[in-house]
Amino acid sequence: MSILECRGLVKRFGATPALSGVDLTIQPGRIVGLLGPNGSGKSTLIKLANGLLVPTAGEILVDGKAPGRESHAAVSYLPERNSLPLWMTVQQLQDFYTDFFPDFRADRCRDMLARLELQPDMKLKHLSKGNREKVQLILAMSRDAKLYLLDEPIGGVDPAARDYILDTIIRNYNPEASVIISTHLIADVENVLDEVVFIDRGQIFFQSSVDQIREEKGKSVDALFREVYRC
Amino acid sequence: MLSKLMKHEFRATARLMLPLYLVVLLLAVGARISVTWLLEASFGVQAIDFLLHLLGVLLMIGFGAGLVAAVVVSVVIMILRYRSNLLGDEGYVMFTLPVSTHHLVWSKLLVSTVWFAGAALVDILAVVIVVLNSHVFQNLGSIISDVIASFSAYYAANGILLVIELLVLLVLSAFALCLQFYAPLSIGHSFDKHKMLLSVVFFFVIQTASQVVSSLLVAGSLVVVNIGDLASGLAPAITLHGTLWASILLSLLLCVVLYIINHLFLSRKLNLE
Repeated sequence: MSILECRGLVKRFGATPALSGVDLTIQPGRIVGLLGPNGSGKSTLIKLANGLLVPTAGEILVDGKAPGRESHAAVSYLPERNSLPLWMTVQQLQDFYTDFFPDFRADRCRDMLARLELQPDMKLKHLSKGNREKVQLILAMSRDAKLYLLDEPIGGVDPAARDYILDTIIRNYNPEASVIISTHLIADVENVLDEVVFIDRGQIFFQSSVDQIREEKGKSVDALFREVYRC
Repeated sequence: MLSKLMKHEFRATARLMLPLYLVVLLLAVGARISVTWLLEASFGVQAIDFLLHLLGVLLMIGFGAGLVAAVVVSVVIMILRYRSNLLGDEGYVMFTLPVSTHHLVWSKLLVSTVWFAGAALVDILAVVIVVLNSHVFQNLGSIISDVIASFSAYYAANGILLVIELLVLLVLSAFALCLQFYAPLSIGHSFDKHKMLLSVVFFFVIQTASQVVSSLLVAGSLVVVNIGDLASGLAPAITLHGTLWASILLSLLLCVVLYIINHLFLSRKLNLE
């Protein structure tokens, strides 16, 4: 069974279409790049999968279920911006995740935080923007979820932080799970992807494995992206 | 999961409410000092007496402001917390927890109600600190039982039942107060633009509608009961219990309608862009 399935998915904000009839199937065990320029509909698709938005038409299923309480237990979501309460300490955030997610691995989380020298009693509001993003990533990747939905995890961070983030994702994701990484920074993620989905103006027009692109088109994903999205 | 949500809701709000309660109690101590000493202080030096009297007046004003603040801040925190935690950026976390929307809303309702009750108790305690003398303190138990007994005698009413009815009404009123803000916020934030402006608009729409409906229901019930009977004088106990039960039913109706509206918008129109 596919871990994520969209059938004729439409989302409009007023008269503005954000997604226009998206059909998409993602199989388990894949690292998928959801690639497209800003405003192409990447975040909208991820928010629909999380039930944070409601489709205008069509259907989206996560692990065979409509977004809701059951699907939330299977999905680990990293929003595009910090959404953790700033007044909480690192320890309180761990307690929060432990309380609500049975698949949260507190020991793994503690190890990753310790490597960044983040003390449990540190408040999020006292951390730098970069460290806040890392804490959020660590919490998301400390779960043994079936699907990781990572919305722009490397957007707006320096190259060293990008390496840290991608390394954290690759080292910690559940190998039986799927990881969907939305980004427009193709060159940085290309090496970790199994599959890519190109999205533009709310429509998916290309889905392929990375190996297939290299073999059949003789190009890297980055080169193909630049060619497809040339202004 | 409701208990876990409540635990974290208490954790989030206690850091604001408990210091507020402490400030009110400290202001009460200040007012007590003011009443028992500062306002009547006389050292024979006009400037010192004036300053002490001024300090006493300021402490009394601060005490009054503290009493009001305990209630007002409780309501403001209830509103801000709902908006920021569910409909702001933190909503990305809250609405992706494996919990039902019902539990998310109930955790907020119950915790806010506890803080309202806390604010009321702190205000009562603060007043007691200021006015209580040792004579009243020694006889507090008998004073309370005298009040209930005289109340029961006058209305020929069941005092315990009366207390239960009042408590039920207070809890429902607290829920209704919360939902009167939650529902318009949820409706307003389901739109793509002008979320807060629309929330305010829907607040007034809901207020007006609930006033009109409750007025019609009260007027209708008076016709059914027959105003002539009331004028000729029903037993005070029946009037008292009847009024309380009518208020309870009216509050319950308001809560149910607002809760359903709120739930529909959170579950079917959630729009966390």
